[in-house]
Amino acid sequence: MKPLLQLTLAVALLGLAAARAAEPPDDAKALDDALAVLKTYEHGQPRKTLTFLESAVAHATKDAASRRRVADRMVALLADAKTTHTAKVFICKQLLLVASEAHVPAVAKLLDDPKTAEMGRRTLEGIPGDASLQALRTALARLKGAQRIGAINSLGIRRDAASVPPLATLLRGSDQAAAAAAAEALGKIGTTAAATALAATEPPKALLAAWNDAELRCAANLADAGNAAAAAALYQRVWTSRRPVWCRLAGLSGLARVDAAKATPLVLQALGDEDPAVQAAALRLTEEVPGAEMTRSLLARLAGLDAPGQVRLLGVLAERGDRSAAAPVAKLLDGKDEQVRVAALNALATLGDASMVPRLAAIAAGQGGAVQAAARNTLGALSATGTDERIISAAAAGEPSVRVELIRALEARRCAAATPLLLKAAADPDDGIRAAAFSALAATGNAAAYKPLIGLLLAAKAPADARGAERALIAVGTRIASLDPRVDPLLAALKTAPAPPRPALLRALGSCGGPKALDAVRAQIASDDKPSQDAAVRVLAGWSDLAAAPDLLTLARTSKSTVHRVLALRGYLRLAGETTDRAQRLRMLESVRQIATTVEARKMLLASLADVADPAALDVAAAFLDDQPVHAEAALAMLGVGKTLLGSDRKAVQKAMKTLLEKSKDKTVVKQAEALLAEALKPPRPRGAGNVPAYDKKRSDEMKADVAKRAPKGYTVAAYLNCGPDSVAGAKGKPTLKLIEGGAYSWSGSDVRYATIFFTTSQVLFEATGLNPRKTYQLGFSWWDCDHDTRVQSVWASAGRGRGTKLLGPTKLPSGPKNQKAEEKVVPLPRQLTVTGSVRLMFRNEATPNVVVSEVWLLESDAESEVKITMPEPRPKGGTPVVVLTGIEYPGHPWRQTAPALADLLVKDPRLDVEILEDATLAQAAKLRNYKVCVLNYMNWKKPDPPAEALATFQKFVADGGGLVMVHFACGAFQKWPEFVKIAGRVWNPKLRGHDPRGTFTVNFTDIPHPTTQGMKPFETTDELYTCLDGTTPIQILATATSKVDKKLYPMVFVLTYGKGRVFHCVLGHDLRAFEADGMRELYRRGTAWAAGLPPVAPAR
Amino acid sequence: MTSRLKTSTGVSRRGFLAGAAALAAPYVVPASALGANGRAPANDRIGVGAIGVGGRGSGHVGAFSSNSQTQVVAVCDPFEKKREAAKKRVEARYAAEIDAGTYKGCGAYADFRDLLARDDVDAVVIASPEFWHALHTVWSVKTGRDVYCEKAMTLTHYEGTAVVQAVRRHGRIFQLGTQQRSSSNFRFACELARNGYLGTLKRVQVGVPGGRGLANVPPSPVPPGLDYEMWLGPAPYSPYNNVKCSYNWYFMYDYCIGWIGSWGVHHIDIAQWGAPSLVDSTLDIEGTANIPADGIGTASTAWDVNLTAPQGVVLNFTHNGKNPQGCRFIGDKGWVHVNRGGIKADPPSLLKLRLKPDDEHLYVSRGGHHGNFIECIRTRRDPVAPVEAGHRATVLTIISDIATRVGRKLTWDWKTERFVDDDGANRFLRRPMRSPWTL
Repeated sequence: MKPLLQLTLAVALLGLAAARAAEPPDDAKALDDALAVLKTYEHGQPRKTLTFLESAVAHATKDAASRRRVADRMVALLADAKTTHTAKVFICKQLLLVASEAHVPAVAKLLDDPKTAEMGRRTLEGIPGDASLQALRTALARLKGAQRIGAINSLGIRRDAASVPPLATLLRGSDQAAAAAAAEALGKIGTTAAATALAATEPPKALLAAWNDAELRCAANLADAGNAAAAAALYQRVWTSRRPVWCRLAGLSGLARVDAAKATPLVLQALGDEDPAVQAAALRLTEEVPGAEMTRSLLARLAGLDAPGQVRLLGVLAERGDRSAAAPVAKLLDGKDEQVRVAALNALATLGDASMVPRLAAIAAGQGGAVQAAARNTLGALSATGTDERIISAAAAGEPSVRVELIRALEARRCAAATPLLLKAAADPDDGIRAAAFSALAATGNAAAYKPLIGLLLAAKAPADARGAERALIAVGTRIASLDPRVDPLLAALKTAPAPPRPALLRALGSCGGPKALDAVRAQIASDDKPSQDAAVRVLAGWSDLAAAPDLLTLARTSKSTVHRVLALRGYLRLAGETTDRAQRLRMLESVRQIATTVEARKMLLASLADVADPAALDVAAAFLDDQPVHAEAALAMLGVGKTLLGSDRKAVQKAMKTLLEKSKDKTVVKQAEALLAEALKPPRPRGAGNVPAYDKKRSDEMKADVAKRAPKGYTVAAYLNCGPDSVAGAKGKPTLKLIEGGAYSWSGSDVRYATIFFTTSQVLFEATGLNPRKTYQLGFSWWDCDHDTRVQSVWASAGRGRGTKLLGPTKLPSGPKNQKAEEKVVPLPRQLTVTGSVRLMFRNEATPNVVVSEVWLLESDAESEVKITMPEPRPKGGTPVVVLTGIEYPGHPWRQTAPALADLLVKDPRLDVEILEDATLAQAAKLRNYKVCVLNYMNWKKPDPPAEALATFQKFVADGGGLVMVHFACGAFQKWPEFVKIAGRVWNPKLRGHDPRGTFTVNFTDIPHPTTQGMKPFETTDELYTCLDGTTPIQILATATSKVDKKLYPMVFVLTYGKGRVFHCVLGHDLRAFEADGMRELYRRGTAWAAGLPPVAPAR
Repeated sequence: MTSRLKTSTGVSRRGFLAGAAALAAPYVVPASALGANGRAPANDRIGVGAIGVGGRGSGHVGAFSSNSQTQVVAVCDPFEKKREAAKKRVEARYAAEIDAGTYKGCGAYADFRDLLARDDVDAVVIASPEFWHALHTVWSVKTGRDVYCEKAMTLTHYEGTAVVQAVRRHGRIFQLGTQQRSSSNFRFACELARNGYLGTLKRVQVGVPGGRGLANVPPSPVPPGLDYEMWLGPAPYSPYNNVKCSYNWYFMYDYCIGWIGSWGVHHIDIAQWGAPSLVDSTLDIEGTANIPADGIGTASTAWDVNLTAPQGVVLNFTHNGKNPQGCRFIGDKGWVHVNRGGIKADPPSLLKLRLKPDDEHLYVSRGGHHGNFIECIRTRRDPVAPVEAGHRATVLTIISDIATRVGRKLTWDWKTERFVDDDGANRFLRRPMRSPWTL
C-alpha cells in the first residue's frame, strides 16, 4: 500500500476525513491518532486501526530513524497503565520489527509482571544488540519455570557465547526441562566451550534425544566456524557412544561430511555391522563419501559377494558415478545371474561410454526378458560424448536384429543427426528394420526427411509401410514451422497419386490445415473413390478451424451416407463449441436446429450440446423439451450444459432449470434439476475485499450529492456510505455513519453504486454517532436483490443493545433477475432513539439467502426542536440476560403484542436484561446460550416441528442449566417431540378438552412452599383456563384454578427441574387482557427470576 | 551394539529392512540391505504416526492406512473429535487385523510428544497448521523419525533453516507435501524449461488462489474437547474464538502468511524446479498486495510480485485473478503452462517432445508422492521433494510476502539467506516462540 493511501485510510477510519481533507498529510498525527484507538483495544472490536498500524510499522522498518520514531511511541503506550493488555500484546509483536537497544529498559520492565513476562522475553529476543542480551542474561538468573526456559531458549537462539557458564550449570541441575533446554541452547551457541560443557555431562536417559541433537548441532556449528577437528571429535563421540543406533548414525554421517578420510574405514566397517539399520545407513554413506579410495575399496569387494550383495553394490557404484568403475562392472555382464547382469547394465547407463555400444546392442538383440530391457534402456541412456555417432555407424550394416536395436536406440535418444541413415533404412529389404526406421523417423526426423517420406508413402507396398510412412510424415510435418513447405509437396503428390495412397495424403493435409489444404480435401468429397471420399469427410469433420463449418453443415444436411451426416454434424457442433465468438456460436447452433429434421439428427444435436458452454445451448435444448421423441435427450443436454455454466452464468442456469422442472416428469431429471437450481441460487460467497473497488472520495461525494438532491424538505445529507467501498463517513463531533457488522462484496458487471454491498447471513449493522439531540433524523438507504428474487428484509433501530424499534417491516427487495432496478427508501428515525447522540441501525434478513445493503445515508433536519425528550433512566449493565423466544403462535394468540408485554413486565426487575428473539423455526437456537433464561412465548401450530438439531440445542440449553419459562400455549409448542414432556412437565394433549371459555376466574396458591409464590395472594384474572395438560413427569404444582365447566381443579403454575435447568411453567397469558392482572405479572416476574437462579424477588434498592 | 529391532528408548527401525541380517561377516554388503520389493509382511510395515488429522491430515491417514507397506499406529490432534474420528477410521480399516490380534489399535493423542514416545512409530506425517510444521518436524527427526510434512514447509525463514539443518544432521528422510513434483506433467514442463527447449528462459508466471478476509470475531470460551494451549503452541497468545482453529488460520498472519505461502509454494516450487537460476544467487523483489483493511484475516488476499534474478529471469507471482492458475515458463522460442488441470504449450509440438539422454532429466517419482516417500524410507535416498527444495520454495513465498508488506524493493541473497542492506526487512525472518517452544 502506498503511504498516501494508508494515510487516507487512517484518516477516514478515525472519522477525520472532513476536518483534515484540505491539510497536507501528517504521518505523525495519523500514527498518534491510531495509537490512541489502540490503547483501549480489545479482541473482537473492529481491527482497522491495528491493520493500519501493522502497515505503518512494516513501512517504518526502512531505516533506523523511522523504526525509532514508531518504536518510541509504542513503547510509551506500553508503559501506560491504562493501555489494555490486548493492546500491549499487539505492541510487543510490532516492537519485534522496530525496537532498538534504546527500548530495552522499557521492554525489560515487562519481565516484572508474570502476565507480561513471557511476551517481554520474546520481544527482547528479537531486539538486536547487546543490551537485550544483557537483559536476558539477568532474566536467566532471576526467572523460574517456564519463563526461565524461555530465557534459555532466547539466549540459545541468539547464540550468546557469554551464557555458556550459567547454561552449563543448568545442564547439571535437577530441573530436567531446564537441562534439556540448556543442552539445546549450548548446541546452538556451538563454541568449543559449549562443546566441552556438553561433553562433560552424561545425559539422563530421558533427555537423550535433546542431548544428541545438541551435540550434533554443536558439531555442525563448529564445522561451519572452520573447526573441522573439533567437529570431527564430537561426531566421533556420538558415533561411538552407547546411544541407540538412530542417535549414533547421525554422528557417522556427520563425520563423513567433515572428514571423508577418517570416515571411509568406519563406513566400510559399518557395512558389516550386525544391525540392519547400521548396514542400510552405511550403504547410503558409501554413496556419499567422495574419493577414489572408497571406489577402490568397494570394487575390491565386488567379486567376493553373493549375487544379492553384488546387485546392491552395483547400485552404490552407479550412484557414486565414478566412471573408473566401468570396466570392472562390465565384467559382470559375462556372469550367469540375471539380476546381477541387469544391475550391471543399469550401472553402465551411468558409468559406461561409447565403447560399450556394440556389446550392449548384441545383448539387446540376443535375448528377451529383463536383461534385454535393461540393455535397451542403457543404450538409450548412455550419456558420454560420441555415443550417438558410434550408434549411427554401427547401425549402417550388420546383423539385422542388432541393427533394429541400434535404430531403436537412436529413436530413444531423439537423435536428429540420424535422419539420412534412417531414410536409407526405411527402404531396407528387412521388414523389422523398415518398421524401426519409420518409427524412429516419426520421433526424430527433421525437415529433410519430409519429401523423401512422401516418396516412401507413394512407393509403399505393404500396408505396414504405408502406415509407418504416414505416421512419420505427419510427425515430421509438425516440426516444419511454415505451412507452404508442408502443404505444397502433398498437393503435388495428390495430383498424380493413384487411389491407394490418397486417403493418407488427405489425412496429412488435414494435419496441416489452411485454405489450400482445405480446398484439396473439399475437392475429394465428390471423389468416385470411396476410401478417398470417406477420408475427406473424416478429415473435414476434424478440421481445426471454422473454415470447414459451411462444408460440414452442407454435408450434414445433404450427404447420402448416414455415417457421413453423423460425422459432419458432430464436427460442426464441435466447431460451434470451440468458437470464442458468441454471436457466431449462436448462429451455428440455430442453423443446426433448422436442419435437425429427423429424430435421429435431433438426438445427435442434443447429445453434442452438453459440451457447449453457452446459455444459447440451453435455449436450443429447451426448445426440444416439448418434442416427445427427444424430450429425454433435451433434458439431459440441459442438465449437462447447466453444470458447465454454474461457474459463469447462474441466472441462465436458474431460468433453464425452472423451465425443465415445469416440463419434465422424470424423477431423476427433476432431482438433478432441483439440485442444480439450488446450487445456482446459492448466495454469493464472501471472498474478502479483493473484488470490491477501493474507497474513492470523489466517487462517494458524487453519490452523496446525488441522494442529497432528493432529500426531504428541511433535511440535508449528514453522512453517506456507498456500502462495500466505504465503511465510515462523517467528521468528529458531526453525525458519523460506521459499519459495525457486515462483509463487503461486489456483484460483477453492475454499477459500483448498487452492486457493491455489505452483507451477512442475519443482519448488517451500522452505528450512527455524533447526533444532535435537538435535531431529527431520517435514514436513507438503497437495496437490490441483484442475483436472486427471494430477498426480504426489515430495518430496525435501537439506542443500545437489543432488538430495537422497527422502522420498516419485512419488505421484498427489487429483483435483479426480473430486471428491476435498485430501490431507494427513506424512513424517519424516532427522536427518542437519537437523543442520546447515537443509534444502531439494523438491516435484518427475513427470508433467503442473506441480507444486503447497497447504500446508507443519514438525513439531518435543519431545524432544532424545542421539545425536550426525557430518556428513561439507563439500566445498570451486566444484568442477567433473558430472552423472550417467540415468532410463531396459534392465530388466536397475538405474540406480537404479548412478547413485548412480557418483556415490559420482566424489565421491572432491574436485575434482568430482556431481549426478544423472533425465530419461528428455531434457526437461531444456538443463540440461546447467550442467555440465562428463555421465556418461551411460542407455539408451532402448523408447521412440522423445528429440525432435530435445533430441538437438541434447545434441550441442551435447559439441561446445561438454562432457565425455561413456559408461557400459556407454549405447552403445545413441539407436539411431535417426545422429549418435550420431560422438559415442560405437562404438555397440551389435543385429545382432551382444551380449556374453559375465556372468562374470569381466581388463581389460588397451593400449600407447597416455594420461594416463587411465597407470600402471594390469590388473584382474579380474565384468561383461558387450560384443562388438557397431560403427562407424568414429576412436578411441583404451585397454583391452581377451578374450572367453571367441570368444577375440577387444574394446575395453573408448576415448576420442575430438567437436567441442571429450572423450568417455570405457567399457562396464563392468552392475550393482553390476561396481562392486566397484577398477580399474573408478578408471577411471571418472580418465576423468571427463580428460573435464572436469582431470589424471586429483587431486593429493594 | 547388537542387532535389535527395537532399542531401549524405543524407536523401531524395522521399516527399511526386510528380514533380519543374516550375514555377520565384516566387509560384506548384506543381502538384506535396501529391502525387498513388493508387499512387505505385516510385521515389517512402516509404522506411521499422523500429527494433525483435520481435512488434509485425514487424507494422509487414509492413504497410509490403505498402503500395504505402511501401517498407521497413532494419530494426534488437539481436537478430541478429530483424533477420535481418525482413530475410528483407522481401526475400521484394520478390523481384520484387530480380530487376528496382529494390530493392537490406533493410539490417539492431544500432545504430539506422546505420539513420539511410542516405539512403533517409524515415520510421521504432519498436517498441522503451518506455524507448527517446523516444531513437529524437528521433534520427529531428532527422535529418529522420517517425515512427510505438508506444505508450506514453515511459517518463517528461520524455521526453514532449522528444519533443513535438523533433517540433515539426523540423516532422516523428509518429503514435503508438494505433490505436484510426483506428477509427470509438472516434471516435463520443468525439463522443457531447463533443457533450452523454450529457448532462453525469460519469464516465469505463477498464479495461485488468493486468500480471503474474515470478520471481526469476539473471543469465546474454548469448546470442550479442544486443547487450545496445544493448538496455539509457539504462536503469540490470543484468546480462542469460534473462527480461527479450523481452516481460517490460513488467513491469519500469526499462524500462516496466507495462500501466498500455503498455495503459493506448490507452483513456486515448480517455478524453481524448472528455473534454478531463481534460487541460485540473488533476487530483486518488488510487489504489492491487498491486505483486508478490517477483520481478523490479516494475510494478503491478492498480490503481484516480481522476483528478478541477475541473469534476467523474472518470476512474476500473483493471485490467480491476475496470472492464470499454475506455472508458465516463457522462453524466447516458446512457452509451457502447467497446472493440475493439464499442460499447454506453444508451439504445441513441445508437448510431444522426448528428452535426449544427455538432457537434464529430473527426478522421477514412482508410486505417487506417498509411494516415493515410502520407497525412500527403505532406500534412504532423498525423495522428490527434499527438504532444501521445500525450504527454497517456501522462502520464495515468504520473501515475496515481506516485500509487499514493507512496500519497498528488496534484494535477497541466497548465499547468506538475508536481505541485502536491509536490517528492517531481515527482522521479518524470524518470530520468537512462546515458551517452552524453540528451534
